[in-house]
Amino acid sequence: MKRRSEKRKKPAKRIAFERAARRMELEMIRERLARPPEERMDFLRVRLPTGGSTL
Amino acid sequence: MNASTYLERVARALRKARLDAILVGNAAAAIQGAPVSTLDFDFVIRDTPRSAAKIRSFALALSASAIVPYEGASRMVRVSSDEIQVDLLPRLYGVRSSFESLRSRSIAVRVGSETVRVASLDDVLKSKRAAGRPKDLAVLPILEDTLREKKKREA
Repeated sequence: MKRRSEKRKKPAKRIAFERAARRMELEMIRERLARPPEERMDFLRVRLPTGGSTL
Repeated sequence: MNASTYLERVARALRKARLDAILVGNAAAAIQGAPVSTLDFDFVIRDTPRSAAKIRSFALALSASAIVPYEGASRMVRVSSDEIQVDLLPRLYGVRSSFESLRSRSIAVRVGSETVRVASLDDVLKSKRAAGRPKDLAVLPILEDTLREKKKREA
């Protein structure tokens, strides 16, 4: 029987997904940093008339 | 969406109104390299007795309206039109530095024919940490990672 205090292990798929997401995030950062500040202007979201926003 | 056209218009209006300002918030973080996005531009302005008149000139130059949305709680002025929203802050929350000190750590970025002062990622990070709203806390890990990568590149 499982004890309540026992930590639940993350499923392997989730661990792999988290690692991939982190790798992608770092790649995105490095890619941005490789460009000069003048070329990092793709950050503005616009409001949609129906609600919400888009890049 | 590319912010250049809008940021250039804002920078031109700031120059015409002689309003000294430093870009902060997510727009500054994005220009400093963080993969984040935003709906508006946040600026810290040099707070002087003439600020109110300069803010009016700034709004006029953008054909926008200026309101104090949280009167009593905050002196932040929101200048907005159909296309642009700019929040003007008298100080950067959570960062004790003076405007001059904040400016000394900022970088000048060319946007079209204008120049914008952009706060350092360190200062943006400090203000986000101090603000502590869910939307600020959500971007902290990505700003911390960007700062780490930036320092690695500069080393």
